[in-house]
Amino acid sequence: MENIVKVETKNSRNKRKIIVDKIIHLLLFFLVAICASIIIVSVIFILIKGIQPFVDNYGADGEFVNQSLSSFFTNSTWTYDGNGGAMFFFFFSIYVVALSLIISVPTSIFTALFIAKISPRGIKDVIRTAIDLLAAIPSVIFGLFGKGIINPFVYNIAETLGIQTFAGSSILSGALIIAVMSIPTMTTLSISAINAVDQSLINGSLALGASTAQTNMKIIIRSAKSGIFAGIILGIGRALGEATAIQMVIGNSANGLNFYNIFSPGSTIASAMLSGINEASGFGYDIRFSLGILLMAVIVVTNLILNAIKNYNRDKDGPVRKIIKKIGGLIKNGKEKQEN
Amino acid sequence: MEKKNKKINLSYLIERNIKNRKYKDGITNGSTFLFSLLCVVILFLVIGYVLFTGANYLTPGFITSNYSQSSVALRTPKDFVYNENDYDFSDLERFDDTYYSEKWGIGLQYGKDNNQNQVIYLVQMSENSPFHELVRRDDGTNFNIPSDMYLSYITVQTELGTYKTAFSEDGIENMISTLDEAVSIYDSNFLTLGGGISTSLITTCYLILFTLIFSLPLGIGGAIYLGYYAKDNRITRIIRSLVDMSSGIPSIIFGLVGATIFIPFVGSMTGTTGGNIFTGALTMTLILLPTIVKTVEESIKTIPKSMISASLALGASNTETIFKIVLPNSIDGILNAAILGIGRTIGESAALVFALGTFITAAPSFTSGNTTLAVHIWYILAGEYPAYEQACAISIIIFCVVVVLSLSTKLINYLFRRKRER
Repeated sequence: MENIVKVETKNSRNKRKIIVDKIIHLLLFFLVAICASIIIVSVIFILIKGIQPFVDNYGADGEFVNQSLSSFFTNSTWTYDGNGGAMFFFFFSIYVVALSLIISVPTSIFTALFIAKISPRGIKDVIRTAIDLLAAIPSVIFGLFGKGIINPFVYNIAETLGIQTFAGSSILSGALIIAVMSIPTMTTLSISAINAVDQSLINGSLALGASTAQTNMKIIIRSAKSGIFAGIILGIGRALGEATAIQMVIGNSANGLNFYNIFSPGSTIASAMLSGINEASGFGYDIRFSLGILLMAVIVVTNLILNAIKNYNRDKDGPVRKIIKKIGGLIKNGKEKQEN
Repeated sequence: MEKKNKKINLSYLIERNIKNRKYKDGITNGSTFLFSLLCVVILFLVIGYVLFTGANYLTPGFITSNYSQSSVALRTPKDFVYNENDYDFSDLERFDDTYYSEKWGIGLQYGKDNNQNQVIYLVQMSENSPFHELVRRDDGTNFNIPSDMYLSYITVQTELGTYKTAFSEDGIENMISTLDEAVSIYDSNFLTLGGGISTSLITTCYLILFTLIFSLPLGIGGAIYLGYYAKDNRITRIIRSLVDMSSGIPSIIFGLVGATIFIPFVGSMTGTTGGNIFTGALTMTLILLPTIVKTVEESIKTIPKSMISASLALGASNTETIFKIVLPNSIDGILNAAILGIGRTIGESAALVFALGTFITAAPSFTSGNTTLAVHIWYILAGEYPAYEQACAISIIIFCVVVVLSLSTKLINYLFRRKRER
């Protein structure tokens, strides 16, 4: 009799355990579903709010004023009267990041090489710590540094060159600050890419009589290319979304698109979203969400393009190859037709 | 003869080549060193600029005072008559660095305001001092002068009936000599320091607290699911890639999300309008979640499979295994995630401009707009006269916290790695 009772209690305890297990399992799944759905919900809400300026009525006294879609994508001067064009911001977003790459890419690759392969142990730790600290500095402090040091520096350069600047607030300052901010990301990823290079490759190069420096430049960097490129892509993504630091140094102009004068003030998409936020209301506030959509689109498209370029050599049937082949085929066809 | 000549030429060529190669190698190695030196130089420039500009301004008064300056104007009552024989100031203790007005029984001392200008504090008052009788100029009520207010200027009525004003900038001697001529005090202006960061500092602490409360349970739960339960199937892969993707979104976008979702949501729950600490904390939660999930999951994955199997084989349920094996063994990951979260919350500015607001208020509040230290920096630099010194002083605080946090991450990793190796 006693035995049976014991078995029963054990069974019921097991049952309870199983139920608790299931509840906890479901709860955890619910939590992870929240984590995963953040991005979907965010994108949906920004889309809804960002489309508003194009359709809603913002005009006073029955006058219909909203953002014109065609001028948003074609106009290169930004205004708040519904005819502003975001292409001004779009162009400078790409331009500033491209300028910054001139400094940040060589710096981070060579620094990574030095840390991973060349430096003695003591110096290595110092530089590693410096890079970690640079990565940990918040962007607002970089903005302060840019406003306090880089802007006067750029102003002095422009002064000696005889170019007028807006107290040094310029595209060049923005590019410099972005370069400084993206160095840690790129360097950290480059270091792990360089460390992952196959030792037998290095040994082979050395055995063939190449010096260590030649091996470093010609074998290691070349084999770590794809990892380094991944770091650069990540850095570019961060740089495109950077708002505070750029907004503080770039000058926040809304017109005057140009390629050649890097001493003129500009404005990126992210910095335009942030500048003048304190006084913004109504249309001036809501249009920032439309710029947000544009920013996300730019980041996603840039990432896709760069990843396709990265994989270009690796997969022979990748999308880029296909497109290039198709274009090549079209040109060939055209030529043949012309000849005929 | 010809053969010999060739040999000499060849060896000479090789020698020259090797020499050239040495130079080239030296140049490439040197340039890598120079580039890494550049990184260190940049770091030192940033730290040096912040320290040299801000160190003098980082005073206790700066940390404890409010951003807004409040003032009070006091005078002696209208029926006040100064009679020298009424007063006995023998209870005043005398100090070397304090100046005393024997006529009014007060001790004055030099101090500094948050712009490093010289100001005068009223530090001592005799029990019998007529300064106790001072009333507010606007409504005539009595007012006790608090110790954090300094004396900006004082206008007195002399025996001849004329008025005389002494300013704080002109020094204590001038003020005391003016007071000695006085028979009544017509207007004395007391000011709080102003320009301080106390509200922003407290708000930052609250924001960190609430962000951790919201984000850690969510993140740890998600990480346990991904690291312990999840099988390698399609749903898991989709969840993983979604979490990865949200870590690539710039924070300003999350600021927009906070403004569109959380401000109306919290508003409908509590009746607030605009950003407050809760909307800020919820937005920071969005930003931090992917990082927390990743960090904790990494540390769950380092737990030996044999430990989990042993626990299950001994009859423990999945829940018991999670709470007794998985969580205690991934404590280093949880600590690292919390530290990362604190660091990000302190430094975040773009998202909080949208989700929390930029209003620097007189007192921390849960229902109205506030601001954190990082946004405070952004705000005081945005105006026409940027306050670099104060911004640098705040940056020193942020920087110290960031350095301490990154050092403690290293310490945690070191301690737990040693524990694992044992």
